Amino acid sequence: MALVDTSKYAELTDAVARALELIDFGFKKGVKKIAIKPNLCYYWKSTTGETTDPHLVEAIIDVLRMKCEVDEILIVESDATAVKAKYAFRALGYERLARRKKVRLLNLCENESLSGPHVSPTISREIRIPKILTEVDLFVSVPKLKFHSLTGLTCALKNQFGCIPIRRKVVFHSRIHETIALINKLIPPDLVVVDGIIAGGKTPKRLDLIMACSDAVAVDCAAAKIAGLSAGRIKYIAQSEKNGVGSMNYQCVGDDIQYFAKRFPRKGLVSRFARKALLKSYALYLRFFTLEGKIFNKQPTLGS
Amino acid sequence: MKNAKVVAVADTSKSVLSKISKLGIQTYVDYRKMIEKNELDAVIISLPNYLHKDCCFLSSERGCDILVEKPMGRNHEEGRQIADHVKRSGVKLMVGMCHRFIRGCQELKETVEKETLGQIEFASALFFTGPFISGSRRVSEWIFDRDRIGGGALLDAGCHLIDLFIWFFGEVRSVTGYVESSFNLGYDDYSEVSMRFKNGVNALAVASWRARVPCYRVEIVGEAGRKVAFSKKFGIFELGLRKGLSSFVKESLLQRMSGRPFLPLGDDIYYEELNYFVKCILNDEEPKPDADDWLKVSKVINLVYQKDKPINVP
Repeated sequence: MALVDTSKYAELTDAVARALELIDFGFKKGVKKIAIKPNLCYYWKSTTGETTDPHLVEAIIDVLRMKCEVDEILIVESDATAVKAKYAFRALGYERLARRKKVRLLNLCENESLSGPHVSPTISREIRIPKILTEVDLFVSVPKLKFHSLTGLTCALKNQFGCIPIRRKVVFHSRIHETIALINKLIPPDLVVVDGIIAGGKTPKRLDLIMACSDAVAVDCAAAKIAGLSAGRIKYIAQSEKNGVGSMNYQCVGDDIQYFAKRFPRKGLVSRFARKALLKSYALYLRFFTLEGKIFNKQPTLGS
Repeated sequence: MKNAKVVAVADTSKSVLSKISKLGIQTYVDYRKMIEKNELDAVIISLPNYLHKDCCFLSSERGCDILVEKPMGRNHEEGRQIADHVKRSGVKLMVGMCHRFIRGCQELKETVEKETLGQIEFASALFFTGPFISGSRRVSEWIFDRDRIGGGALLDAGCHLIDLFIWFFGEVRSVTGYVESSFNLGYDDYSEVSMRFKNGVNALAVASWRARVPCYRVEIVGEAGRKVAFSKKFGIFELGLRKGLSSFVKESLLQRMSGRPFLPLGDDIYYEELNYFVKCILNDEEPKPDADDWLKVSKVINLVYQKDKPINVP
């Protein structure tokens, strides 16, 4: 796992090239078609710490073109419950990037998908996988490093959740950890380059970090460490390891992980406990003091 | 609400209509059918911007008084057409400039009128909001279509601030403005308008769709001091909840605590606005702001959209 401080480099392209050099990433021969999956979860710019920086994707495209004789590069994203990929591409600067770099933008919801095998009995819905991701020679995931209200952390493994080619992904939220583990088993990325340039912690903060690795589980473990979370307590990471997606044991090369961990805007203990206590009391309130709580034994949708 | 009864609602959302029909209210998918089939005294038009003109025309032809959401028209010309048509029909029309009903803004208006701050020299206002603020709400397709929306931050949010300033200070003498589009949607997502009023006040309004957390503030500065208005729920309480809890829990909590739906601007401004509109109809008074008030606002917006080029420092 490579950690690179981008502030040491004049160009992002150099930082990305250095990160790949550090992990000694071996490009397969005959790589012709590449898919890049950024995290475009909402119409919020990368400076908010929520979406992938298009400049990083641009740098990755440059490096890939230097390393392989590529015929086609695709930037892929799918519609989500609240977002349309078409408008996210436009609003977040990916349309401009595609024109400049002559790459194709692809909405996975509008393309052919394959029926995925039911591996997990706990997910009652069928998870389809985009056909295009099974056809590409190299699949690069470019997640954002940030907190997430449902899963605790969003990084490489959670970014794959965005590959599910249906709009109403909210139907998987009740089984989100199992779904993330399953989708990673079905379509694991070949390479992960994490955008931690501006990370989404308690507040957005410039970390100037990019991480590169071919193992998505290892990336998420390191990301959890930087964010001050325990990787073992994030269910989808442990489950993905069990599924054979990767290993929770990792070795860092490049810049010191502690340097980034110290700068990451973590949530304070007080706010974490206060939030938990508030949520618990709200659940009790719903359960005992509201009509719907009494009838349906309703629990609120709680974040982890 | 006393003295008024909701008899019919038109919406394209089936789930919304099914909830409303349980309240014994007639529901329609097509607003044209709703207006044609019912003998309505008044209609509240809260449609996408591009449908305001059609619905205003139809309602006024059927003799309904109108409360239309801002912007009344997508541009100054469309606004003028609506104003002319409504005047010919003889019905009342009020534009939903709800910020006039924010308690703090009403206090500012009182301050200006009573001259308790002496001569007002300067006023500023900022409003950071927009369709992308929630992070979880689906944004309608028409928002992304320049033709159907007509304009961005300035038309959607800036109009409130311009209207407040015109309400406070009267006639505008000159205008300069600047708009930016970083979302590449073909219209502005950030705007600044600087206005000079005939009574000597200078005012600056900034509206943006870029922020993730809403922000609202109106300030007037006079010879004897300054006064600020901001909406209560943008205060420490609301932001504290926003940081610590998911929006679902936060909104549910606020609803439960206040016993009514969560209103992003705080206060009961929408209720106050509607109450005022109904009172005007019952007392046969002309509600304010009316179509002419909107035209004053849209004239300023039009000027800014036409001449938005900044002068570069050589």
